[in-house]
Amino acid sequence: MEEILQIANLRTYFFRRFKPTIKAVDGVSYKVKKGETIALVGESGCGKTISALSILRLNPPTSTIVEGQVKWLGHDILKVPDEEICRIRGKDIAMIFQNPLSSLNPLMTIGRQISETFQTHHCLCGKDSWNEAKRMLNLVAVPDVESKMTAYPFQLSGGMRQRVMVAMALSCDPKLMIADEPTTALDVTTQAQILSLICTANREAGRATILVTHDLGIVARYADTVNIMYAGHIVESAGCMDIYHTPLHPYTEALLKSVPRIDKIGGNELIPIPGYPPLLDRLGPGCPFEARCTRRTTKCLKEMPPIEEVSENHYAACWHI
Amino acid sequence: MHHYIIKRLLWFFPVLLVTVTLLFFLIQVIPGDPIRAAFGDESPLSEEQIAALRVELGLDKSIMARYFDWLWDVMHLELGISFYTGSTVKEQILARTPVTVGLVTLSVFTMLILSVPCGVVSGYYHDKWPDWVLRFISILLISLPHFWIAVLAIIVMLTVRGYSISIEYINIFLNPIDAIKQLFLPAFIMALRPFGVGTRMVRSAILEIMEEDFIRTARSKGLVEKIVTRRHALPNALVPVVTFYGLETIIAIGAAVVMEGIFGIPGIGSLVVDAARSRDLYVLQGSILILLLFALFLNLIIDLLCAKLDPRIRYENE
Repeated sequence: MEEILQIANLRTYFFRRFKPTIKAVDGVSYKVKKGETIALVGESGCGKTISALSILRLNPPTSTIVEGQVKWLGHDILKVPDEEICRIRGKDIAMIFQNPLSSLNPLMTIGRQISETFQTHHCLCGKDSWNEAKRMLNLVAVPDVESKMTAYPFQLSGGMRQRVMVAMALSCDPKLMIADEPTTALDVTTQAQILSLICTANREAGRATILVTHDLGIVARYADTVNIMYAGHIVESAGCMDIYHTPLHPYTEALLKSVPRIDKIGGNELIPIPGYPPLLDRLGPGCPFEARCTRRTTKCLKEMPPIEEVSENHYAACWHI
Repeated sequence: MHHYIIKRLLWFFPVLLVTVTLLFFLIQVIPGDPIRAAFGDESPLSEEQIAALRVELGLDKSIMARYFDWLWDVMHLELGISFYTGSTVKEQILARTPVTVGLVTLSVFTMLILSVPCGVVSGYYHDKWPDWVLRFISILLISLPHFWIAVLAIIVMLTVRGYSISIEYINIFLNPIDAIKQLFLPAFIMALRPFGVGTRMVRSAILEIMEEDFIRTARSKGLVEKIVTRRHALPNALVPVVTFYGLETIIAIGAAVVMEGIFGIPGIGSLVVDAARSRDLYVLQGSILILLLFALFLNLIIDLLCAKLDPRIRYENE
């Protein structure tokens, strides 16, 4: 299938005065095919959100994209001028964020915030864009659309706010949607609704999705390809089935052992990963997972293992596979 | 919005009543007999004459009776007469209010003109040299007491020009240019501290807003930076900024009392100070009442403006 997005060797660092640099994203590469759902999985602080934001150059102003390529339909997004990236954002690639309350402008009505996208990309006038916004809210199954259009974000429930975010992201029919932990701030019952809303809409439209999450249950249900991230690196990348049935990297293995599985009869014993993720400003030359790993040897301490194709379309970065 | 306005207006009156009551009783606490104070130690009046005056001025009644009399008078805009000049308090206040209003307005205007652009520049050049320079200046201005700067300014003016500023009464409506000339220096000195605080305030408001999640959302929609700033950042930064400048205006009324005293400007502030020195009871009550009304009214305006800007305040408790 046709590849629409190629990310190569992406590095986003936080340079700080008088303190060591935080290497939040340190050499991430992956590809997104048309219509595919890719999951970026990892613990909090592993750089998955920063790497997703860096694709559209939305990384926080305190950070810098040091090097790398983000090829979108042949153009390097990291090199195009600012006006050009504004045309890609929201139109070709749309984003959904973690916390829908803080991600919506508190002083603007829902209607104005959604119609803004149409005004920007389709040059629609006020009334047309307002009608389009109404259509989008209907599409994401928001009840009582008329009154929601003139409501402010604080007047809606968490689930409704995230539906508004989804409506905003879908409004220009983008080719790729980046969903950055779209359900983290929601309660469990709404999580399922929002996820199936996002994934069904994207599947129907043949739209590719990058799903950033730490929830392995969500990944198993929706993802085609899974990238496991640890301390700014992708440590394993494979099809969804391969990740769950034949994990190669010790981190993936440990991660799967630490979550309950409903596909195993009688359940499984939950084994937590000992220790904490390393601090991203104190990384040595070796494998970042070394301190918590069961397979570690002196080689792991000295040298970072490169990511290599172990079997077909199954990549892992470990010296001991 | 209507609900909020009505609710806020209804709140205005109980607060007014409480402050007016406080004002009355606090002034009663001031030691010394106002009539004796008015005529000095060697009073030409006999005891009988003083007693008669007390009856005439209503000072022989109980404190509660005087309180209700005063409230009744205030409601009818009758503020009594001065023990000294014999003119009505209302007349004096009406004559002097424009001077103080002019001084405070000029000062607030100056601080706005100085601090908003400086704050924006400081936020925009975050941690670069313009930011460092402006932050140094603001800290300096915050640390210098304005009455001290005022005295210094007078000394400098006296040595350089031989006079500081005109202290005659200038009607701001009849002679606006001379009035501004008179008021500019004290207004400028009054504006220095809020200029420092305001610069830092605007700076941090801008820095905070630009890191908000909804700014990122606006960018992710493909809005150009100019529109992100104008449509999303500025309105959100405005709420704390409006509150800040509103409160600074109220503080400026207090500062005006000090400035008028130092520069000898005949406004409400010097009226208060003179009346307090000479126990001119009704003048004191009346002039402080006016300052109170200003403060309460400004508070009302700030609240209504914030509600206009922020729907979360507007729809609160609905």
